[in-house]
Amino acid sequence: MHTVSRSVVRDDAMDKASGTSCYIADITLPGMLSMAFKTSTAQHARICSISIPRLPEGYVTVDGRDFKGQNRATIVAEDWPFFAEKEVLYFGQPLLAIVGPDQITCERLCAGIEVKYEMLESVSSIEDARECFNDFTVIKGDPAKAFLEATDVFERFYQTGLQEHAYLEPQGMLAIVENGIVTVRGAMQCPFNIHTNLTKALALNPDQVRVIQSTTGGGFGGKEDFPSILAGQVAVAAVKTKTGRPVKVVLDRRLDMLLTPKRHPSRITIRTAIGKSGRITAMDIDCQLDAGAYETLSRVVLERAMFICTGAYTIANVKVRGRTMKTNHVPSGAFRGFGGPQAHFAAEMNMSFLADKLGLPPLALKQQYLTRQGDLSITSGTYRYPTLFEAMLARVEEASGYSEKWQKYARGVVSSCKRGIGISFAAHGGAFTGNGEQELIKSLVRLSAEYADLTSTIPYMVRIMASSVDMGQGTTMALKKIVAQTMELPVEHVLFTPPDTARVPDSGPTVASRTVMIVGNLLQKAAVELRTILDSGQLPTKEEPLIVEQRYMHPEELTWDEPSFYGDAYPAYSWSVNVVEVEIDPITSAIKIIGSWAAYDVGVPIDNAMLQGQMQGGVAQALGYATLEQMQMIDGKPAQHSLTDYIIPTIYDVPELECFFVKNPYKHGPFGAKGAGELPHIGPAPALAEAVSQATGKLITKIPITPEQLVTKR
Amino acid sequence: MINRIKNICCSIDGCKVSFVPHPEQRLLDLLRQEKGITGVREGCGEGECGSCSVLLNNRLVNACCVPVLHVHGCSITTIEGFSKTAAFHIIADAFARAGAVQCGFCTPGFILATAALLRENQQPTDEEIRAGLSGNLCRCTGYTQIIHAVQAAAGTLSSVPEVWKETDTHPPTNISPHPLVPRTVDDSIALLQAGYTPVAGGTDLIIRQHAGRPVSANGNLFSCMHIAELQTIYRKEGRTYVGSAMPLADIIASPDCTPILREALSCIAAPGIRNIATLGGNVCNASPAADGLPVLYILNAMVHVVGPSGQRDIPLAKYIQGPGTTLLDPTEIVTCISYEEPDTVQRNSNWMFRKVGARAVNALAKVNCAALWEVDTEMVTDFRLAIGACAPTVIRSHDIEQSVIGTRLVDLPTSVDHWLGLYSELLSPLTDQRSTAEYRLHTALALIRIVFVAMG
Repeated sequence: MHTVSRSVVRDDAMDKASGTSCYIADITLPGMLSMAFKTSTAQHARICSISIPRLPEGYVTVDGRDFKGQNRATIVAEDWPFFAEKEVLYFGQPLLAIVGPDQITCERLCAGIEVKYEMLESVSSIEDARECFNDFTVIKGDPAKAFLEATDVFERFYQTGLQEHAYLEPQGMLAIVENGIVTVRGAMQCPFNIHTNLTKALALNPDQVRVIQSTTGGGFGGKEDFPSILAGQVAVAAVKTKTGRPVKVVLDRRLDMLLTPKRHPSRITIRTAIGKSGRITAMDIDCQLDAGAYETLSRVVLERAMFICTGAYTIANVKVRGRTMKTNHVPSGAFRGFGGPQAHFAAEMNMSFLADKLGLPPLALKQQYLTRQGDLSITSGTYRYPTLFEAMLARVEEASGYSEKWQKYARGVVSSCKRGIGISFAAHGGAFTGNGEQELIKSLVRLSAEYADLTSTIPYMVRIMASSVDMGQGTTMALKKIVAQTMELPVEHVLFTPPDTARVPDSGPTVASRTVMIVGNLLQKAAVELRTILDSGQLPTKEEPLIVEQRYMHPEELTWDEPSFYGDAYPAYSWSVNVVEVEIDPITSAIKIIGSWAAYDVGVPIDNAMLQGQMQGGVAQALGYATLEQMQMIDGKPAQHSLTDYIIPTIYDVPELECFFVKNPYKHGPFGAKGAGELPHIGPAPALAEAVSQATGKLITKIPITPEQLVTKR
Repeated sequence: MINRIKNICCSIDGCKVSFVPHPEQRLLDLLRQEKGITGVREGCGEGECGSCSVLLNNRLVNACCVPVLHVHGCSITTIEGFSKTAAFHIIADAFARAGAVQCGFCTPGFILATAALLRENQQPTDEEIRAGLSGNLCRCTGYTQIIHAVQAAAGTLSSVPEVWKETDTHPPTNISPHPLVPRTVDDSIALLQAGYTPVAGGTDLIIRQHAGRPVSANGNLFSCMHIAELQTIYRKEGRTYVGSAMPLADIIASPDCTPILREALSCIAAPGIRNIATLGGNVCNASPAADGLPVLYILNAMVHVVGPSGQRDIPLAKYIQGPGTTLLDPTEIVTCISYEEPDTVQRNSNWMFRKVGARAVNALAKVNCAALWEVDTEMVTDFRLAIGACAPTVIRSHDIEQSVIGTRLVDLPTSVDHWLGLYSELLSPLTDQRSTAEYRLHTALALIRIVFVAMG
């Protein structure tokens, strides 16, 4: 085991345990104003009139007209308005807000506002959608020829549902205008995205906007896109009130679940060509995502889904068409895995379907197509590094007894409850897609050695300055460990400046499994440089710290052509093998998960305990995604929009989660580390669905799998 | 005239505190907004996530559904106070070392739930750990490291049991009565006549009030949790009497509680809710999905109410008129619920309670079913069955039961489908955000079938 993998105790743990950590809801400033939203009760309508009762003194409205720059945020696409203008495009869309001293009064005043709508036709599903935001096709090899020569062609479609992030801390944001500077603080993953959005929306110079992350209680992608919207709404209110009084909004859970983006539902159809040899020769895949009412970042979610549409398997000839369908739903957004879970569910269940058609056990078929070093990806990029499926599979087999159990369950009923076991393989590309890191993000990190009046042998502290946030995943400690190990310093000698756009450089958003792999690597390079300076005898003084910076450089061997989607879609891939075992109650059809095992190749773990936490947490979310977590949109309204009705796993719903790591150092990663955070959410859902398929004897093609659905199937 | 502005007195983290209550106010708001104890966190506002866990007289509760009136004369331990104890440091250290702390929002709640568990049970099994923490949601960890942390903390704490002494809390002394916290039924009747609404546990009422779906339009609530006579359980002349304001956890723990009722009440929510929610609340709330009701229906429960014109004893099945509707007059209060206990329930295991929820624990019922029966060597001598969440009220059919009683055991298998057909005519389940009509009907009939199978 590499020494960097040895677990350390996180330095934020005791403050969090004792409740002294300060989340945005905990910040109260003198004279602070509250805010309530008037949201749309129509799914799709023209706004005919809005009549606002006379407001008491101290209360004002804010709406889209109050933005001096533009009433929309750039979340990849520049289309999501902070407040609706002439039309509402989804149920719950904010029309305006009322700002004032008392929250309950703001809410009451909002309730008194009358809005007249002219209803327009609504689109409530992928199937009904007629417009799409994006329509891409990627072809690898010669699928047309392969289909022409096929001896058999199989076709099937697969569906995945919405998923709510259900971070325990609801979204919240605070804005204050002081000396001409708008400062916003709150729960967030991407301080500089918010900074850019506020600059544009409020027509301010970059130095007139400051964004500070407060302790963030979980994100999972949910605090990637929406905080830009919420920040715009509170900031415009703080500007408009002109009183200098801060404005804060913390959403209650029901409002949070109504207003915020969720995981894209998908409908993926796969046609498979089987050649004379009985082997899979080609796939023709149609991937449709429900983007919701605005495009926002759906294009990049779609790209991720398309580029990994055959999962961890390499198929010689593939055509994939992808579309982001426009519906009258709250915009779909970023969620851990970002298109990967949807694509893998379809790819894996399709392999399961084909195994049945070809008369093979699922594992026997799947093993034949597992990606190996040198294989070509969908975008004809090369998988440059060894894949360790054999080692991972052996580890998971040993722990789970997969093959033996599969055979036993395949022979028939073993007890009064029906059991099944499923296996899945998964891949996830670390960092931004294509040349995003090079062209869009251009990460910059800074390290400074600062004079410290210490009596120890090391007379300085090293400070990390980067915009990567800790939302619970342990970024702070991971980055500190990388710097400390590289400089051979005790970790206590490394400091981390909380992300604040006025104090740290833009190392990019905290997304895409890129923080350790990309930002960590830059920090390691900076640490090497700083160490060289210090070793040469130069030391920081009280007046002058020693500062080094590193900007991202794309590895030279990678190629990418954005217009044609050709080349290396990701710098490196992380891989997993997942096994899930279930038991189906014969009376209620309730699914009990009795075991979950997974092995991961994330390069080299930066801290074993922290990585275990990431993996186990991701698995639990994915198991919830596959079974319990149902959000149905009824006429555009979420039927389950509270934690009472939207069911996430409790401590009773997940078994002891067993996760293993195989070491596979990545040459451009710090100590060999690759992307990790999203990977655990990719594989478990299809493994669980395959287990349920075995237990029930019916192929599962749709998640979440509910007992209601299983009863209907009988 | 009720003096509403009189102070409520309690102790918070060992300090005596008094304040003028807003009767609808939640303990959570008092702690966070007025006392600045922000370590008590709001994650859901409806008693689901446990982020706002505190200890009320040493028992775990969710501060988001405790009306402040309840805390008169009580001691409250929040994470802020608990974090000053040695027990906290042992538990928190175990959490930190196990990697059980990620975003940290749920952590204070988990720490207090762990403390509540380990105070009572020094060597919990994995199953007991899961049960103890089942009312706390974590979205980051997947729970495995949390279980490891609790095991480690239990190991350390069992060698230093004396640390618990420091966590003992004492309610403030010399507290004068508060007009909205009556001590007697007579005082509560006076409040009812003045237009006040009683609040028992509050785990439903306070959530609804806060979410803008109030039970009491004028917001005039009074606490009925400090009336000693409403908090007892006893047996008398073949009947068991359960005080309406007795917390479910106390009923479950009582040797006087019948096993089938214990089983049903244990299926309700999670420890933090069961520590304060009451059977009176379950009955007055009159939800068709209430887990306590099917058992009470088959035990021929009576609801005992008093009001200005005296006492009324109403059969439960009559008392409940429909979802949320009962025969209770606004000037009356339920004092207790009584039931007759057939010998069969104590003597043998000829009973069943099954709840079907959306997840293993802490979920509202999609369907629930209670049944008990007696057979001799040849025939069925007693049979009772009730189904919840499949009609506006719990369904129990005396007609079907009468036709089952007297059936020869050998004839049971051939008659089951006939009876299932009769039951299915009585059930009229709905499709809603929790399940479908089809599933509810299917599962209800499957549960009834296993009762018949168990009888034969």
